Amino acid sequence: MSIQKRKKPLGRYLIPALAFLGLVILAVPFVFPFFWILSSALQTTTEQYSLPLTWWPKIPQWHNFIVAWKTMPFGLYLWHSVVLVFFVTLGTVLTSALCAYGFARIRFWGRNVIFMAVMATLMLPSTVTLIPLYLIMKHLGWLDTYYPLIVPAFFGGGGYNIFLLRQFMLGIPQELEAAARIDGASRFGLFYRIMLPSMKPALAVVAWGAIVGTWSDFMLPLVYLTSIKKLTFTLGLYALSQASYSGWANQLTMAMSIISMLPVIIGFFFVQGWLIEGINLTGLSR
Amino acid sequence: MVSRASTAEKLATGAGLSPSNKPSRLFSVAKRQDLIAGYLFVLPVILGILFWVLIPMVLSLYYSFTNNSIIGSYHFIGLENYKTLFQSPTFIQSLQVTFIYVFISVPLNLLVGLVIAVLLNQRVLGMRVFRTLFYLPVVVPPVAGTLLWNDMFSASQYGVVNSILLSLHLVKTPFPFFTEPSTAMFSFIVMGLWSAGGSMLIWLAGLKSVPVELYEAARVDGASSWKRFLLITIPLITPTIFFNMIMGMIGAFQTFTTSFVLGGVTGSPLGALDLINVYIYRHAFSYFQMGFASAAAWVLFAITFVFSLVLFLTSGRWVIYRGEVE
Repeated sequence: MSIQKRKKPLGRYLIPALAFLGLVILAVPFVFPFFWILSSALQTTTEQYSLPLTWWPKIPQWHNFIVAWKTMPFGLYLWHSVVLVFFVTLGTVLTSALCAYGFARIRFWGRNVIFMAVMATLMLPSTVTLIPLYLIMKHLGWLDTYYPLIVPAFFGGGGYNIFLLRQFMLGIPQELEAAARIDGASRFGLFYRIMLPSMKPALAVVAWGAIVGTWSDFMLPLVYLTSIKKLTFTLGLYALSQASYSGWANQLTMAMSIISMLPVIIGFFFVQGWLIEGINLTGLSR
Repeated sequence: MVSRASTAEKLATGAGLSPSNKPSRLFSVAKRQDLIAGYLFVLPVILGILFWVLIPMVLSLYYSFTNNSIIGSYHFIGLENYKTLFQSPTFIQSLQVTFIYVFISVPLNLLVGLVIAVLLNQRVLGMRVFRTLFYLPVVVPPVAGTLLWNDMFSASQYGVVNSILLSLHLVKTPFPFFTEPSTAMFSFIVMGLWSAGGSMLIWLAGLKSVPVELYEAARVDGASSWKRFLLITIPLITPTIFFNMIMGMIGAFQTFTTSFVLGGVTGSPLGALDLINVYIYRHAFSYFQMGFASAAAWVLFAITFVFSLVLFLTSGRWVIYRGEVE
């Protein structure tokens, strides 16, 4: 006990220093893949298959990015993904906020049962509903269109987002709304003028999730989009990786993978602050 | 319904006429307004559950008892699909593969995420930079991430990881990674650890929510840092542990992209990486056995449901909510 106490001043510096060292060592396998993907994207085919390993290309082949971009109509695929991301994010943020408000602020008969049902959908594997939905979409003539990917986002935006926003709203004091209510504001007015502005970090978390999720989504586009001119960017990347599997152009697959990472990585730096604030405030930890 | 009943009750007792009860009548009008407003607000998700969950679920359950194969008519075949499933070695294998993946990779990922979060929580130099570095792989699209790891884990001596292992004399011949059934799952789980930063942010929020006074008090009592972690931190973050476990488990059961991309690129060796979702996808959208695939999907649902239920039911024993501690 006394040893412990004498150690205290030392511990104050020793523990952070040790933690720093531990983090540096741990960070290596997390960061190295980013270095490696850039290095291999800039190599020539010869450099890819020669020993000793090329850690960094002698002359970085920056034009690999252009060559890779031209292997398929990636401009078109990018446009498709942007459209999808836009509408899915819009629908998700809008309707999940509406629903969350209903669950957080209004008492009505059947509320808890509906909320439990929303939570239960989280457990449901998407493949259970995917097969009938595919057949329904086929019936509607929606196969190979973007509707099956966009329309569901406008119906609540997913149970997880509703849960997240509801938790956040429960943490906002009711006084603000009470004051506005006396002034005769409608429910929607309260939601729109008071609630929405005071929950920007949480909305940012939900929007960011929708953006990343849609941009990276693979399974649903793979099922619903069949013709080669309708692919999303991520599907295009997968198609390229299949095409170049023969091994002649791994550097092109790597270059295209980097391009597919860029929007989300750059975006992350912008929303990072909000993301962390949002996670802290939504009380996910409680 | 409830509001109408209470209004009627008050009218019947005549109390509704007395001025003192005026506020309560107003309240029930407000209650009725709330009922309408409430349902209007949650209408999107009610319709969403109806169209995108309930109806498809009923259809899916129905298909699972038929030989629906898209083309032509189909008919009811009872439990035939389920019988075939459990007699199919490839299905049994996909179940085994999924279980191994879920029950090893989820705890391992959470553990790595927790270790990083605990280190970050030590008022360490450059905390924000580290936090970003560890989180970045999480936002990388799974297709891109899998292609990258497939390249790094190349089974030839040209693969970067094999090059390093060979030059350090850790292996004599190139490690087969994804190309051998015996090493594929191990490599798959290691690849998955790259995105362990996902739970880290939530762990960090959990760790930050532990009151500092508790640590101070324990320090005065002379508890070592390990003891403080074990006896204060761990119990107080059990809600976070529970949340991460349940979300991680449900997510892992539904893993598709990473498994599919590897299977497509290198040909999952003898099905060693074919998770149940990939099995379902193949049967539904490559072989168009919609009825059969629906049955497999229901097996996955049943498994997810049972394990979530077990976790929920046992959570009362080990999850400590703040209110109970104080």
